[in-house]
Amino acid sequence: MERQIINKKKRVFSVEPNKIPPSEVFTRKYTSLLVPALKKLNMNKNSSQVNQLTVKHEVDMALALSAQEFAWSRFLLQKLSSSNNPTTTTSSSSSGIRIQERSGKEGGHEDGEIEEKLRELQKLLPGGEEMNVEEMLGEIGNYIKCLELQTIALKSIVQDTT
Amino acid sequence: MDPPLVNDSSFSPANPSSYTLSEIWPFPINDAVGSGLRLAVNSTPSDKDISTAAAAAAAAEESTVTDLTAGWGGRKARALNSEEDESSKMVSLSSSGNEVVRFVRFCDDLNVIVRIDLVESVTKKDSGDKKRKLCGSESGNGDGSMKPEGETSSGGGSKATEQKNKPEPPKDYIHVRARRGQATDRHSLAERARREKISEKMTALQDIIPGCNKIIGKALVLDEIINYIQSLQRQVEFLSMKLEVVNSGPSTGPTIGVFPTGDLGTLPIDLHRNIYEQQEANESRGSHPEWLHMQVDGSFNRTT
Repeated sequence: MERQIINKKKRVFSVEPNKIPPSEVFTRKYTSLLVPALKKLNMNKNSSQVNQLTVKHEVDMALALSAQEFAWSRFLLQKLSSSNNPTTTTSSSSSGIRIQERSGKEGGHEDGEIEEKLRELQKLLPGGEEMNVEEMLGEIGNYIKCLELQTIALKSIVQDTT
Repeated sequence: MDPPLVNDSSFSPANPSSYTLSEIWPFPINDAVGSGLRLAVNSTPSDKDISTAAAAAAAAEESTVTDLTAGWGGRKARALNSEEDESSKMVSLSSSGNEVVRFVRFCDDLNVIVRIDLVESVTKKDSGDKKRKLCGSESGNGDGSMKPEGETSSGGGSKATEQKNKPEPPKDYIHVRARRGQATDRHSLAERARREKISEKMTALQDIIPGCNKIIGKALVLDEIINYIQSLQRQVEFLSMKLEVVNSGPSTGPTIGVFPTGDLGTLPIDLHRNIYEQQEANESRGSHPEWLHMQVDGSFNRTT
């Protein structure tokens, strides 16, 4: 209960004092994953590696591992692991689940636009093409949140090390 | 089989703004039908069905429209009463389709609802039994029936139907509207539920994305979402590139001084503090944390 008084931002989750707001959880996980990975990368810098790819890889990996509750993180992990093995092909078929956005109130051409946009959205989200529309819209929400948290974390990391 | 009673030549599309009933409806309308039309107009407001009243009210906005639509509605109401057979309804659906579309094309200034509903009524195959009964109660003054059975019209209208001499559209526009608002079909109910879920999620997304509250319309909101996600992803990419530069140690990177690798180990402590400060700064802007708690709470609980 002390936490309620201390930080009202955390009040939402401090009915039970052991609860931590999920944004914190994510950030903690993320940084605790990424920073050691970067350290390791730094150590291995002398060996011949393609640095850019691996940093991005680590970044994505940290993101996926910090948000394992979400469906898109699974797909992201799949993609990452498959990108390590270029022989395996990922199922990135866009012919996954067609979006039927049939609205009785709009004209036919408008439906096409919306469908197009939803498809584009699906492409942005890892694994979005394998989901149906409702699911995807929900996942997009937490994907955006995690992306935001990720950018904050990355900014801080960069700041701290410069 | 489908006598094109309403054909192009009988209309003058050059002047769509002023139509009288006689122009649009090329058949002579005797008093019985005329009175039927008026009666139909008068009786709709007293009907208990809200949607029909609303439709009638909407139709009553234009005086010329009123008669037309009432006539249309009245006629269809009568026809609706008379039709009990599903198969014949299908037949009249298909045959009335052409007529409806043609009628619609030349009445551009008519109530939009009428137009859409007419076309909708043709394409919809839902059965509106409830609505039919309601309709039956309101149009006791109806004309003759298309079929010999199920005839509820009082006298005086048979002449008109003979003059009309065509399969009448089985669905009253009023009832189409009602049906659209209250889908009785299981499929359309499911569809409606699904659509509502989707729009619910869209509004939830609107709350997250900064600046999306003001935007109305699915397409624009989706645009914003796409742009936002793309910009976030680009930011992450950019930051990771910067990180790579930073991380590669003192040998590369133009502005970085000596950077002992041991510092990375002490990062997390300061890092968290920075991150929380930034987060709080962000949170004061919008309602992000609430959203995350709301959506994520169930699943995050497992990990805490």
